Amino acid sequence: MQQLKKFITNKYLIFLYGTIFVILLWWIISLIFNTTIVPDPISTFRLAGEYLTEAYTYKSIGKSLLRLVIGFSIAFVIAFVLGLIVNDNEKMYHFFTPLMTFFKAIPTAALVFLFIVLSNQENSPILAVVVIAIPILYEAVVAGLKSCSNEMLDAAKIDGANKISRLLKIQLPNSYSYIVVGLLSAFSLSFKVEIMGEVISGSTESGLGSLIKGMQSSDPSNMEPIFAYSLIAVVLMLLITIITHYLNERIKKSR
Amino acid sequence: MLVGCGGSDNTSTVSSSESTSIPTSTSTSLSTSSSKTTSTSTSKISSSEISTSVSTSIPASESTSASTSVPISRPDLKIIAPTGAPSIGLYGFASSSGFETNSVPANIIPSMKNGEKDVVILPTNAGINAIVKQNAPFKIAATITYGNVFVAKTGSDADGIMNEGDSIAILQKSNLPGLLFKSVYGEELYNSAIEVDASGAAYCLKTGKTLNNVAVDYVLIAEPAFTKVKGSDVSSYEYANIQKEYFKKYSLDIFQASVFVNNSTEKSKIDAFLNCLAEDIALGIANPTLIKEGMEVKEKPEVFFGTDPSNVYAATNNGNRLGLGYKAAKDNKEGIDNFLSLFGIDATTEEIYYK
Repeated sequence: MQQLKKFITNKYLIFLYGTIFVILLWWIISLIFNTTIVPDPISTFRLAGEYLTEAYTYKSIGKSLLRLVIGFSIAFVIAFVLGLIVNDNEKMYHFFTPLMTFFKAIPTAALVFLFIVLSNQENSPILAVVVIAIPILYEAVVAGLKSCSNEMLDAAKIDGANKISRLLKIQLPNSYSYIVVGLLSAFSLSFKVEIMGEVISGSTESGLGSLIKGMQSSDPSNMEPIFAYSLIAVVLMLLITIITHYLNERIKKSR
Repeated sequence: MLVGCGGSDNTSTVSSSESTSIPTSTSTSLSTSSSKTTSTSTSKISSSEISTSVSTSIPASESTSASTSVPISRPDLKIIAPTGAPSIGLYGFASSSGFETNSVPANIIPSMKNGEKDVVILPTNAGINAIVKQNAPFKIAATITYGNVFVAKTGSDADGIMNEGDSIAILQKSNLPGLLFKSVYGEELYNSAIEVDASGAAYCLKTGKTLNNVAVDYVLIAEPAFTKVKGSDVSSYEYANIQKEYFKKYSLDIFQASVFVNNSTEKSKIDAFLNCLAEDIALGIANPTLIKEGMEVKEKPEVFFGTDPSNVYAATNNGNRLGLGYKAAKDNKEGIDNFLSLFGIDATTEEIYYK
């Protein structure tokens, strides 16, 4: 009985129950709104499966991920540098606060339109990712660097460690978990923003967002392809989350 | 697949005063036996057939060079077009790496303003505004689509005549489709109509009601969506061809989407491009298989062109319902100005016309 209870309440099984619940909810909604507007899960999964046999789908996934990685990497470098600048410097922190608030508050769609004008349709999703990810990563770096206890830093100072040594050997290793959490939450948001950027930019170059927009333009009355490509994006994001979570656990264990 | 364009003696004898088949004003079907390849099909078109039904307005400077039998190679230009009917006319350039499309026409305007493209296809009003109001360094060279909007009947209207009291759904009321409807049928019917977007229009025609469950008697819808919903039955559901109605009322064509060329691009390349484009469109109207095959060069043509090649084939094969055609802008200033007046845009000046 105890073993049965343990099995039923196993976290992976509960995750599975939650997934089934989402699919059931989706199916009920498709019945209420009729399947022309909200396609049912079965036909969506079937169509997604068909799309996954096409080389173009993988080309598009690759293109979207490439733009995401480029934008995210640029954002991380900028956020990290800014985080280092404001480390132990309250005045600089306050100086950059309005800029970060601006980045957080500006509507993403407005950003994409602006970047289309400043740059081009191809690059506008990358730039949108940069602007969206910077404040999240910046706060993660700042919080991580601040999390180190003052006693530890004072002790290191007394022992003769300079600022750079304290940063490299104490602050950065201690801020690792903060930065990783920030990376994970910024990454999944950036992926959504990147796809949205492709949709708004209207570019028909390969990309998941371009595929979604293209299918919508090609047959506006058929929502099935849009749902199918969105499902592929969701599954992809889930896979990335699982992989990064696994890698994070491995790195933690090795430290 | 078309690689070069032009090529045979007969093609080169077209005079510049003629224009391509426009759905409203001239016959849309060519009496030719056009086949797949360019050189073969053009050699079968006699110049007399071209002059009476379909012909190509070739830029004057090219007419001499086009009279040789050497194929004019497609120039390598940076071209951008909105998805849909405007991009379909460029099917012959599908294999060109410089040809891109965008599903949001408004997003093409920045590339016109900063002059990064050699050729930009845009709705005529949007392109003219970019030149006149935003000093985009372009000139209008030609118009390549002449309207693709139709009034479809759902079959629920008892008397079968669209009049006051009928429930009408209009695609994009404040944009060109709605403005055309208003100019043809008047304010009363226009004001009482329900506005829908492209997906809404297709849904209305499919189900006979809007997404909010309001019954609809007539739907203003564009091709190839109309053909996609009704397939081979499209003619029996057609109540009116807006292009023809507009022409009946005003004796004018709808200069819907136009070609704008960069002032800095080499003239010979532009002329070669326009020559190829005019010929592609003429051949495509005569033989829609060419368009379908040209589109299918792309890996995902329904994404790149914004529409499925099969639907384009069906719509073009059924009387050029996409409204493809080619007319040099410089020869049709009056028609363009009259069309622009629909949008409240002032008459254009000669300086913005490519010569």
